[in-house]
Amino acid sequence: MKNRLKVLRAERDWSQADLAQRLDVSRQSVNAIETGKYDPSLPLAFKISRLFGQPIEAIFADAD
Amino acid sequence: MPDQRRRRYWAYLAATVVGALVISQAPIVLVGRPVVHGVIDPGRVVIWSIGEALAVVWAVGFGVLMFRNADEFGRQASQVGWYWGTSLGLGVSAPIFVFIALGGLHAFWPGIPASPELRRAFTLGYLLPVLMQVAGFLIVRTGWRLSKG
Repeated sequence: MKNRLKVLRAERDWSQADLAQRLDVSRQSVNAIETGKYDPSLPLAFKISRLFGQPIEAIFADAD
Repeated sequence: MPDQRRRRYWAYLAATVVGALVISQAPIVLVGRPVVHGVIDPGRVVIWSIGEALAVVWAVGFGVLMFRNADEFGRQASQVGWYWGTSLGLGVSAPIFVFIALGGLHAFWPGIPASPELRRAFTLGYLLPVLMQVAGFLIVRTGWRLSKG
């Protein structure tokens, strides 16, 4: 699944560790999501959505 | 991983290992060794077995805490590792088991003792955790499916 996490994070000048802290997950989790190697659960996707103030579909997009 | 979660992880891990070790070895202080001068003491064997069961309960309890403490990425890593890692380990062990159970070690290195009793003991020792693991897998998998249905 593609996502705009890296862009959104960069716009706020946050490191992966900063974002991980805000989401209460590991930095490794953030890196895996950003690189598309791991798809977050719905609860985590909603948390990301709330953190960036954008709907889920504006952050995550189906690969197809 | 946020610092607090990381600290909890190491605290749980230390408590798991140290606690389980202390509980499982406590019978040596309470009743002594289960075999005295080559004679097995049935009462002590039971107490040692109970001690081991309590150690397992302790370890499982902290294992659950460690799993809950992990974020979802860590949990999935553990689940993938336990499923595929242990499946792979079991698969690799099967031909090694057959080789040893059929007396392969003795055939290649005659210095290593071999007898029907040794083979039977080895087979039982190998099968016990394997069968328990497979049974546990089937029970938890079925329970999970039923609980979601």
